Amino acid sequence: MNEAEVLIDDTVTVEAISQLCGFRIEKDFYAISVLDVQEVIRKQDLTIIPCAPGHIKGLINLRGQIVTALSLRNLFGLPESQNETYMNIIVKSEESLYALMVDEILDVMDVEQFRYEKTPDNLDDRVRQYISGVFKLDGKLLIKLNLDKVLKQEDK
Amino acid sequence: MNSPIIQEFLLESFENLSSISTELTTYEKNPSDKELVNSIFRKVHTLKGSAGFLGFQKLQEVTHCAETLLDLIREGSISINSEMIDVLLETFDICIKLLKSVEDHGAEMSYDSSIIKNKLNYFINPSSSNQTQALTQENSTKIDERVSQVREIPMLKTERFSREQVNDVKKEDKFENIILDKIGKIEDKKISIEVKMENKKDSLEVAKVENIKHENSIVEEKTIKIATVQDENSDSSMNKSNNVADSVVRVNVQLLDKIMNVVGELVLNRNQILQYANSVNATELNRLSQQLNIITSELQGDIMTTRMQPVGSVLSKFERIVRDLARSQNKKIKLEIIGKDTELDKTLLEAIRDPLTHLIRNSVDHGVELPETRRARGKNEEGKIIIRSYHEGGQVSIEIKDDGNGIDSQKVLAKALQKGIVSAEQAKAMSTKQIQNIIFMPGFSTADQVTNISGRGVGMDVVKSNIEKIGGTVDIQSNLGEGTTFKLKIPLTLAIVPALVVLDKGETFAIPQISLVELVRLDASNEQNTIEKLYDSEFFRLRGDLIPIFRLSDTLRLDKSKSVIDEIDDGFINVVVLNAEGRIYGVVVDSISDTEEIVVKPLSPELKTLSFFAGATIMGDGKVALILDALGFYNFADKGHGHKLEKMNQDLSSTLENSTGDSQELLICELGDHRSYAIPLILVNRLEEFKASQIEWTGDQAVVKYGDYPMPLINVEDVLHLKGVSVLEKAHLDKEALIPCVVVKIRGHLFGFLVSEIRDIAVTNSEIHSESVDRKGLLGTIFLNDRTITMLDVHSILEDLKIGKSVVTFKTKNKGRILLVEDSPLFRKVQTEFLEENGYEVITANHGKNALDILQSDKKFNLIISDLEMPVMDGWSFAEECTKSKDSNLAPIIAVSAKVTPKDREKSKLSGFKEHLEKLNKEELLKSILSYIA
Repeated sequence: MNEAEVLIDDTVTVEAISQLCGFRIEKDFYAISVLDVQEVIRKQDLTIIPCAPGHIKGLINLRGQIVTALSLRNLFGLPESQNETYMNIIVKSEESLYALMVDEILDVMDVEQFRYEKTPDNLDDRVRQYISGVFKLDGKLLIKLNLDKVLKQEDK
Repeated sequence: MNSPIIQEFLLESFENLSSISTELTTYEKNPSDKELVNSIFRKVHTLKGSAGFLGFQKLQEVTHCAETLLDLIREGSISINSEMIDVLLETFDICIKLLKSVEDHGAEMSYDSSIIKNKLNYFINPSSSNQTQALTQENSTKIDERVSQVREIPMLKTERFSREQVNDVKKEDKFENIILDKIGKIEDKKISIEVKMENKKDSLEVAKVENIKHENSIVEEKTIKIATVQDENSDSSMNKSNNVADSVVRVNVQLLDKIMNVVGELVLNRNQILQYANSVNATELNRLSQQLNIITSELQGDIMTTRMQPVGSVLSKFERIVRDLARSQNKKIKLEIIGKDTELDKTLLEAIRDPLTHLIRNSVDHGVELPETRRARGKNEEGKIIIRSYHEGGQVSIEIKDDGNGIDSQKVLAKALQKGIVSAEQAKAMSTKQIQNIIFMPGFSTADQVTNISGRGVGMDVVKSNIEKIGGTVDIQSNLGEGTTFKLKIPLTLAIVPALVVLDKGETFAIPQISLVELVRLDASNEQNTIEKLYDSEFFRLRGDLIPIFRLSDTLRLDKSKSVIDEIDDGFINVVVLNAEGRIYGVVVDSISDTEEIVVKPLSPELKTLSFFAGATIMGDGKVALILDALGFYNFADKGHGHKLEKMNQDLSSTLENSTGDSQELLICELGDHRSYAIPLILVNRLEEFKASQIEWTGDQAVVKYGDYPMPLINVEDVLHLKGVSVLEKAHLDKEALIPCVVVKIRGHLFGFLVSEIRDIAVTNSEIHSESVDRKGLLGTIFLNDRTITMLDVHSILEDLKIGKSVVTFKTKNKGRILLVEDSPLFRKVQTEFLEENGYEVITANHGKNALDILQSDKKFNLIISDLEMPVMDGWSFAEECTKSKDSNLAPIIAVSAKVTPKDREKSKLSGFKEHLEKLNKEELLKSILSYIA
């Protein structure tokens, strides 16, 4: 696995170069390992799930497969999106498919280890628990997410 | 880990051994079936060969012995008997053990195979078989194992060898030495050996005893000959089995699952194309899509078939199990299996394996009686167990029928009562079938002595839950003394289910047909058929039975604004009646669409906690629809409502029958301070709901037009000085609000008590604790359902009101003086009021003693009315006391109680009461009073 291993604390241990798929939510930039991404699709018809936790927005039909759509905004404690459009990043975890709802997809980037930095203290706690690592790219702060944590979160 | 070759060997060998077992038990019943024994022989032979090839010595030795015996059997040299079968079965069990140890540890476990070999050899040649074995061992190490044939060894044996000599032999390791040794001793015993040889119908001449000395080479020669012949035989048999093997392909179940999934998606896609094609007017497209439809359906059917296996594969195993169990218990049982070819999905087959095993064991263990018992009962000594499987109504039915004891309902019931699984009252109401079904409840086992075989009461309920887990049902049919039949019904497959599609508030849901009972369409305007509302819950009368009703949109908190106009069935209410493990209930939806076969897709783990959803599916139009789970939905929606209904019904009927003097019905409501309060139900006239705008004012008093009468509304919170916003104030603020109102009737006048919510009706025998009262207007507190509820003193509340006063003060007509003896403060008040209303003056006493005290000083009464159940001195004692005093001026005494039985009447008459009346029967009471106060 050429994933960079990063701790949530200040110490950072990384190995090799990793390719990340970047995306934007509100004004912030996030990324997940490109190896986790199955595909990226446009906004889809959602079937709402009654009584589901707040971050689970519904179910999508992806060529006959049921995909659970998660709102990262909701997870991070951000207000609901004002926009009509958004993109879905389809990821797979343990036989289930999930769609991460994001505002905009950025490029795939190669990130070298030395770019990783310690997580700033001023990052919201709600986001912090999902952070795998942070680094600067072109002057912007890019937050790498721990996909497993994101998918397995317990709703507070 | 084992290499692929060894894995392959293990797989094949396990399979072989299991079918050998089955075939052996079948063969036992049909000893004339040559083909069967040949088949067994071939398998054993293969096993031996492979074991030897891979270096599993113990396995090879054991199978070698077995093979020899089988060979003799198949030739007809020996005839089969039960003991032989026992030993053979034991042998193969050992083989399985050896194989298992290879599987787990990569090598055979250490095992002394001499015992089993001795047993086998006993049959091969009943005498001195030990030597045979020892020599056999030597042979196999020396000569190619294919060659070593036990049959050549007998020439070296004689009957006269003793055990010690045999033991000595074992220690030797030189083949020649042993033989020479034996040969020396043998020469004296030629004859016996020749006799032995005669018995073996060898096609080869084995060296005669005289030639033994030169034997080694000759023996080898011969054995090589034997070997070649053997080889030829085995080769041809190998070829045969190869051919059989060629027509079968082993496929990983995971791959099949994946194919099923893909085909499922194909089915969905086909549905979508079909739907689209139907909506578009293109003939060519239609034609092609119809073709696609046919092809896909066929493919779907075929793929489902690949996963289907004949139930026979599981059922055949039972031959062995029944046989072994029966023998161990000295019972004679014949097992008959019908319908082995009935097919069932592989996963389901696996799932029913254990439950079926348990049921069979149960039949042998508890069902079929011992031969003596059977004889005594006039039955055939041999018991019969029939396993029958067949397709019926889209499901596979498997019946396990025995002609044994049958289920003793009395015993079952007794045990259940003893274990506290059912209560005595429940027991009275149960039918025989219900009693029989108790055996499926957890914690039950009628075995006086729980055997290892059938387990300890965890068996039957696990059987039931396992079967139900896969969507099946299990049913009992039993007659005491005649036998029992267990009938299992299993759905053909799990993944594709027929479902009812419903629409509610713009959302589509699917309900699996298996839970569906019926669909009811109610005319909303038809009063009789509508949904009755009982405070928090709604109910519906389905042909006489009250069932709870839940609104889908309410329970799931759907967005009601999303109702689609088309979907709403104007003026009609659609109720889907479901059955969740016996609990019947209805779900109200906007409209009902169609029944469809849907592919069930599981929800992701986070959503699994939503127990009311069984999964999701993709509809023909590509939209995702959630599948409701009948039981999960019921549990989620019910939250005690269903129980409430039962309890209420129970309570109502029991109050009618069993009410004692102390039980009272209370109406529980909530006031503006969000606390619960109770009003005695007998005071309640009606429950109403008024719009806040209907409330009018005369001076300071709020009233509402009730019929043509301005009914005063009581601001309870104000009167009682409770905290919080009073309901009346709230009404001020929101003119549209609906205010619940409890209408009470006091002295013929109606008053409305405004409450924030009407909760429930409760019947309780609990005492009213008046010590905790801190203000006027409250009767006390009562403990109800783990909560403390405050009882309102309606009378005193009204007394305090200006308008109340004029009504509450009684009329001064005095028709007579009555002494009322009653311990319940409530009843005292009510009775007093009633009597005063009718013009009588009432003096009250708390109990018998109190009354006697009053009578000491005040004898001017026209009538004494007394309750019976009272503290300190009860009614009967009081009456007796009065009679004892023999005071002729004493007023007549009437007894009143909530319920009157003939026995009570007798007792009362004896005590001195003139009459015994029902408390609540006002007319009778009045009539009676009039007769005494003329």
